[in-house]
Amino acid sequence: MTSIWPIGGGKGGSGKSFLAGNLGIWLAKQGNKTLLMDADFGGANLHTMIGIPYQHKGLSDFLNKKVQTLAETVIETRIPNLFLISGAGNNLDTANMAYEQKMKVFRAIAKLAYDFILLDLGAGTSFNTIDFFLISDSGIFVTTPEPTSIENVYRLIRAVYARKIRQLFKADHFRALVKETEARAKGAIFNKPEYLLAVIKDLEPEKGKIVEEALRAFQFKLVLNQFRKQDHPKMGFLICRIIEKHLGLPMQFIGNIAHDDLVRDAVCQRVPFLDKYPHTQTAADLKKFCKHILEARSKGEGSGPAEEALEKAAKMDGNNGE
Amino acid sequence: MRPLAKLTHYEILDLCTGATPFEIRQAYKTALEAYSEDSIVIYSLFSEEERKEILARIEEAFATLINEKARSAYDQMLIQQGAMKEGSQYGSARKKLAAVGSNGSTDTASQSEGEKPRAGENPVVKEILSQEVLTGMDLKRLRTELGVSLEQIAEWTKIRPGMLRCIEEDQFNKLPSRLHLKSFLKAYVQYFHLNPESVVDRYMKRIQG
Repeated sequence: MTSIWPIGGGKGGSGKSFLAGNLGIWLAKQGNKTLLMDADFGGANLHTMIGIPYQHKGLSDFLNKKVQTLAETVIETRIPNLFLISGAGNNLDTANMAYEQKMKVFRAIAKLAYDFILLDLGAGTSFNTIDFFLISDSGIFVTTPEPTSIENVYRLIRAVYARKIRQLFKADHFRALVKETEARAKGAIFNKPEYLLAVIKDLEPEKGKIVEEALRAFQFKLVLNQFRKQDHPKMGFLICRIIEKHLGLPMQFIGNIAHDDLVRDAVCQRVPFLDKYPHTQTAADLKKFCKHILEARSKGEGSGPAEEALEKAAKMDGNNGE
Repeated sequence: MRPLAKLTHYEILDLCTGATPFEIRQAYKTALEAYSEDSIVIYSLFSEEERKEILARIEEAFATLINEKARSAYDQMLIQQGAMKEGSQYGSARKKLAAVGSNGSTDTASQSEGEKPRAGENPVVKEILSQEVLTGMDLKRLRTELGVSLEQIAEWTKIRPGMLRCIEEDQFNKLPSRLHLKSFLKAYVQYFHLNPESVVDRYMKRIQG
């Protein structure tokens, strides 16, 4: 079974690529066939994070039909078992790929056979980012203990939440619900999708239950990166509880990753942090994080993309699915 | 938002229905911190209005659950609504002892072995409690680990903070008679819902020797 893990978070520096890269290397070294996919289409740099020089081959070739299958865009790395779909050669078209192309990528991902596929997502809440959270039942959210980063991650989570609801309705039906929600609370749709759910539950209790169940089926994880000693030790737990309580989305806190200036050092030298500084607190935290994801796969988490989910996603008609 | 009004007092404070008064106090403290105006963990998540609404619910939940009578009436209501299982309420596992006097401290005195203290599941607490002998420093570590201030214990046990400090600092010359010291220690330990006898004995060992 392929275990797919979208990795998302706030703006540059929260640690998405750093975690994806190190997780990929660790999993590969444990003997898991692992694919890292740079899904930050406009700001790709995962290749740099794992020390691979600029490669022209990448996702663009598949979208431009230079190659027939996504598998042909995969490049080998120096580490056995570790493979990469680079975004280094992406052009602007790829960064702004159309809805049908995105669906083509999703279907192609579903055909790949790996133990793990890690999707290093871009920042922000564009559909080309958040839709990647809908092709797996799991996902990793990365934040640092700063208001800016936390704000970003909450926004991202709410965007995924709203997008999931959108996926479960036909376009005009959804529009009507949005209109009703807006009438009850202005500006609520993407800022507060919880209100949308409240409206659905109110007007169509049966459908409301289905939506709630779909949201509860997610097995999201939260990682608190660049954690410093003076930060509140329970911060991660509290964030997860708050998300569960107020959004009804399962969110498991899987640990802090200690801040270390050596991370910058490793990134600048383009060497994997775990290899270069294995005896730091940060490395210990990273290993714990990696082990958690490895165990999650054995519990069947990260499964997908379910055919059914893809079909539903493909049916999101009109205007880039929105 | 998941309608706030539909969450029970236990859900609001992230408690199980069998929570001890100690756990309720801790949860209340945590909740106040988490939803405070400058709290980072809820940054950008709520409007000021929503935040105040949540805080009001937290206050209501705490006021109800910390009051024995109000809590048992509330539990009965939840049980009738089917939102809570009969027998899952606090104290239902222990023998019902007639509560004599109602100054609060008799409440925990009736705790029996039937109820497992959850503070004992904390790994640091476990490690401390696995020691043969316990020092004042150990007690202080235990207290700090559970995030309780000396003043909180003083308020609840009615023991002077100065005396509690002497206990934690092993100032044997300032400690009262053995009998008093034992009862002070017992009250201190009971605040955490830990088994008092074993802790008290291991503290007293050093004074005998």
